Amino acid sequence: MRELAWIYTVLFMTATAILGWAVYTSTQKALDQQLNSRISAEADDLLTLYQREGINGLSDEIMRQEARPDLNRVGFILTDSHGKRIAGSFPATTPKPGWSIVLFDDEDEGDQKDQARAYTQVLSDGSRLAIVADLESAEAIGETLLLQFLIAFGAMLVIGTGGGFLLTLLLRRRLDGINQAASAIIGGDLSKRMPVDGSGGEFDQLSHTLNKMLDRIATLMENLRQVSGDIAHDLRSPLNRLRQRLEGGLSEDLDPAGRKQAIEGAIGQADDLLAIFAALLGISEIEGGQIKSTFKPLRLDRIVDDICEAYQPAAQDAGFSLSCEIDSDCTISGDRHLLGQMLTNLLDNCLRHSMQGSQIFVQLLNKDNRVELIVSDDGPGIPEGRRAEMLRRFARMEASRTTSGNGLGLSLVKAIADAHGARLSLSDNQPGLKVTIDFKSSRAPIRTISHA
Amino acid sequence: MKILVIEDDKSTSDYIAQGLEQAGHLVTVADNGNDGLFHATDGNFDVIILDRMLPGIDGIEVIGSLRRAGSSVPVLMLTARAGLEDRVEGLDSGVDDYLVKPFAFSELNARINALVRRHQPEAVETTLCAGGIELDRLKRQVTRDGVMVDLQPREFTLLEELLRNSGKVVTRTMLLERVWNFHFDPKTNIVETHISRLRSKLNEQCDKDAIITVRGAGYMIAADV
Repeated sequence: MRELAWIYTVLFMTATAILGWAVYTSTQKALDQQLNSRISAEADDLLTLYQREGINGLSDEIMRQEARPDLNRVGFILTDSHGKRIAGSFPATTPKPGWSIVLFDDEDEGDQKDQARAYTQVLSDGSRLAIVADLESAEAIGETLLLQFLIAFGAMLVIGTGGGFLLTLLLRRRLDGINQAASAIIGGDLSKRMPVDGSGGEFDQLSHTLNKMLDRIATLMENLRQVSGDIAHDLRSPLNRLRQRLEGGLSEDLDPAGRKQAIEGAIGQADDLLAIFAALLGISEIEGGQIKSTFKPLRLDRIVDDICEAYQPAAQDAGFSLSCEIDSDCTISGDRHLLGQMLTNLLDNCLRHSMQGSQIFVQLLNKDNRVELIVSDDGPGIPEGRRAEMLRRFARMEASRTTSGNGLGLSLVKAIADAHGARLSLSDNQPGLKVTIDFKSSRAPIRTISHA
Repeated sequence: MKILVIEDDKSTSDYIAQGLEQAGHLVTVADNGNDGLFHATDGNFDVIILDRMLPGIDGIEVIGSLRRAGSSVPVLMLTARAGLEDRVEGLDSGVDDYLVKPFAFSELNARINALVRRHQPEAVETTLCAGGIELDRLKRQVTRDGVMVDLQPREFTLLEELLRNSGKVVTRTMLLERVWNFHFDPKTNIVETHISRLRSKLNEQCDKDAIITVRGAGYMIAADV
């Protein structure tokens, strides 16, 4: 971060220096040219005058010009062929013909010699005319420019470097916060979250996203912890029963038929245990989410219809009344086996936990862009405070502890609903339980009629 | 029958081989994909039982090579995972049936029998007959001893499945898969209640039970001798 600020400052300064140098040299050049052209113009005028009026006319003109109070004027030196000055008061000796730089004594600046630019022309009678311009003003402009540039450069250096380091400091402080939180999480404090200051800036958004990710991970971790605890706890009793059964089978006073029965019973219990494992694996596979990639648009109404039909005889024989109300054209994206399993689990629950003579009602409603599956019964239901808990693995109501079942049915339903992006809610059917699963409908591509 | 078992887990392959040999089959065991493929292309097997996960080349690759080589021998795949994706992948690659471990031997046996039967070039029979029951696939009519029996569509499919495998046990899971397309196990006794209705309809005019319940295995309609 600090290196970046340095690199940026150095690059910026280099660019500024190049720009400054370019401005300075081009200004100097322009001023130089301006001076030269003034001298040339003056020389032309005076030479014309000399041709017309001779040396006397020229010296008169020079004197007249020098008498004029013009601060910005050029200076003159006019000497005869012997080098004796005829006119012009510029304080320097006559330079050689052509363009040259002369040194002169400036009254303003004491002993120091000053530089001036001169153009000297030898006239036809052997006398010489020199037109001289002080370079001081050009130098002054150059100096001012240089000074201003240096001030600007200095200011930029201070602001640039300072700003760079301030920015580094701010960025570093934000990153340090994130870094510290991450280190704490690595160190085991999973409750730690990235600092959020509510500014809504990029860093806040990043922190917010990271926090959401951490929340998700924490939920998964918590599930995992809970599940491993529950598995250990809930598998102990069936394993115990299996062990007892096998021990009983070893007993000396069993006849072959009794022994066979004991072994068959043990196999049955082992199968129950295996079914629990299969269900657990199924739930975790669905929660893993990979299955989603295989989802296709399908007609939920057909699946629900098939299952209702399949359950009808069993429900009747067990003394239940099962009625189904199914809207047509309910298309959602999903997996038909999972959806089938979801509904059968719900119906299994109704049949298992309700009294004989109960009414079971399956509804599939086709709403605008939603599809709602409702399974309700008038059985004992689940008290409001315990509904969320019933969606967890191995959760069972006290009353159903003694009945068959492993407490995984509803958590599988929940996992399947989640995988389909559907909202599962348990509510009071007054009396009984009402399970609502709200899917987003997926419109299958509508067949278009093409006009040739 | 000649059966090839490709399975790397020794206790599983022993269990399968022992059971199949007791049932009178000739069993060859390969414990990796390469050997399995070699035997499969070399020997003339009636059925291949193939594990999904194998050292070397895995089950999916074995079946792929086998099918590409033009072999159409029926293959039953075993998998340790109840994964849906696995099943889809397996069936796509040319596997004929699928069985999730652990399984009861009776389930495996029933599926092997059904596979072989399904595989025999059967002239598309429009009627299936066994035990005095006659099922007409075209007219969708069923008679027992010449008397018309009125069945619901699902009961018709159920009977069709049993008749196609007459003389062999059809398990509850096989019926769930083939009649209802349920690849999971409902806790409610759907199959039992449907069988019981079908049975009472078939037995209405007859003393002899049309459907034999094989305890712990499944259901069967006795074949005509």
